[in-house]
Amino acid sequence: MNLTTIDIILIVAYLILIIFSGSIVKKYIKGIDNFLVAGRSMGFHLGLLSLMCTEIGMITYVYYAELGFKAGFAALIVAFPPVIAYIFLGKTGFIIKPLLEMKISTIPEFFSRRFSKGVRFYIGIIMAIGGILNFGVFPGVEANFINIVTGIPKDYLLVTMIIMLTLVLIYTVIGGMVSVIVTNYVQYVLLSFGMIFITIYGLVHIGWDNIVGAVSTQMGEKGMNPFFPTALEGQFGIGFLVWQTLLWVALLVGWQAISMRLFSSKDSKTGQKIYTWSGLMFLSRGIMPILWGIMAIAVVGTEINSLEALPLLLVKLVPSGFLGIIFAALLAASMSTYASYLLSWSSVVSQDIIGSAVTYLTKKELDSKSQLLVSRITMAVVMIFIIWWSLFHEMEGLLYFYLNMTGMLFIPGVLICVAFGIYWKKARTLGAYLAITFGAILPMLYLIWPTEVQDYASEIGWGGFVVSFLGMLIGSGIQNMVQPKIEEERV
Amino acid sequence: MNLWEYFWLVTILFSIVSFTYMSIKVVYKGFAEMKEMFVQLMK
Repeated sequence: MNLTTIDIILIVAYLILIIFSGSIVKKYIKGIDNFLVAGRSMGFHLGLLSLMCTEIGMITYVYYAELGFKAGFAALIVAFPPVIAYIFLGKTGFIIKPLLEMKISTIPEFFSRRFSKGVRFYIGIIMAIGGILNFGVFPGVEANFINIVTGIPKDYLLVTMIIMLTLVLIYTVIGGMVSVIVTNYVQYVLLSFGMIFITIYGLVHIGWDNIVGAVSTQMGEKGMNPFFPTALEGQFGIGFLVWQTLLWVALLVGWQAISMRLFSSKDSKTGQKIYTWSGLMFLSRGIMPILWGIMAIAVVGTEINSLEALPLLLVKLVPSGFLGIIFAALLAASMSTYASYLLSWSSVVSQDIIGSAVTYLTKKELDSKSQLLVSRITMAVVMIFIIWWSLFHEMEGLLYFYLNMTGMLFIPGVLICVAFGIYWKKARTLGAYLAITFGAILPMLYLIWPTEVQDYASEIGWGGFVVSFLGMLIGSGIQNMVQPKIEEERV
Repeated sequence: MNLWEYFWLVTILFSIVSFTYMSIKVVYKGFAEMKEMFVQLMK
């Protein structure tokens, strides 16, 4: 074991605090709106904090560090596209302002209002598949990470993960979004301290010149310049940046865990402000962990499994008295992500798939109490599935691309349908069906044959948006010719 | 020190300073907002 008694006491104290603060909010949950979007009463600073907690997990550190470890300083360019996307959407209100004014709780809800209930059901299914495949690799990657940092033997890992997930499940099932926001507060204090500590301590302890020296020796010019040999041919060149920027604009609209936070904010002005400032916060979310991966080149060498670079660095770098608090910070980052992801993906299943099907079959909506019950049961089922999936799934290629491509199954379709649904009167239901279907085809190629097509990841990326756009045009064009519709107001 | 190295160093330092400042700010101001949220939910 790498942990001392004091470390363990600290970690247990943190876990008790979280369970306590997550469970006392039960009396505030009066209906599905309070449960899913905290009654839309979240302020700006709390929203910013909660969004950061959701989108920073141990897995975020691992995949960013892997990029830095593999590509050197050049990988730092990956931190910029989300900054551009957040500030663009936050400042212009493009797409998100009309969505906020519609007061919806989940993105598929938009589809039933603008297109049809069938489209909502269809996007719900594809979203649930992409989201849960994405979420499904978290426990495995993180269990491995915990194993290296703490020295808990591999045989006990499954038990460790199940205990951690069950703790998260308990408070999320009890208090929904309200619990998530309260526990996020405690988690953010730890998480931000951990990130700042590792970054500054690493820079001071290893030394800037040593880090640069290690990268130059191992990778030469390619490790410093993302556009090497040219901006078109570089691994992180123009094609990659265009794809990533499109992907991030789409994620900020269609990634349930992010947009749910937007819908929880108390008015559209607060929602936009949260996005604008998240741009600044997300810069560090990328820069810091990528830098840790670069530090690992200098500290642990390049002859190791790239996913293990970060945990090995932490074991070597962090002074012994600090490992407990750093580990608690990592746990905090992960638990907050699990809580939000459980809530958001299970809400797609319970609201958009089961809810739509029940309404279609019985012609009646479920009452608020049954909706709560269905949400809570789905959450437990999703959790069991991801533990099962993480036991069987073998990762091929870079983790960052796997996570991107699972999201890409529905992301191009969502962005195209939402953007055209809001701003183009002639967008029709058939167009939505085709946009969603076409958008999913290319990323499926990557998920089925990751090693064969990985050199074309960027082309698959921006190509997914292009074919989805064509699907919208073709489908809407055909339907407008066959069944012209009377002009209606913009939704 | 070449241009890229200088650029990355400035980016990293900016990232540390801005993240530290914003973190202190959201933790400090988020507490008041959390209390307000509970008042709203009790209505």
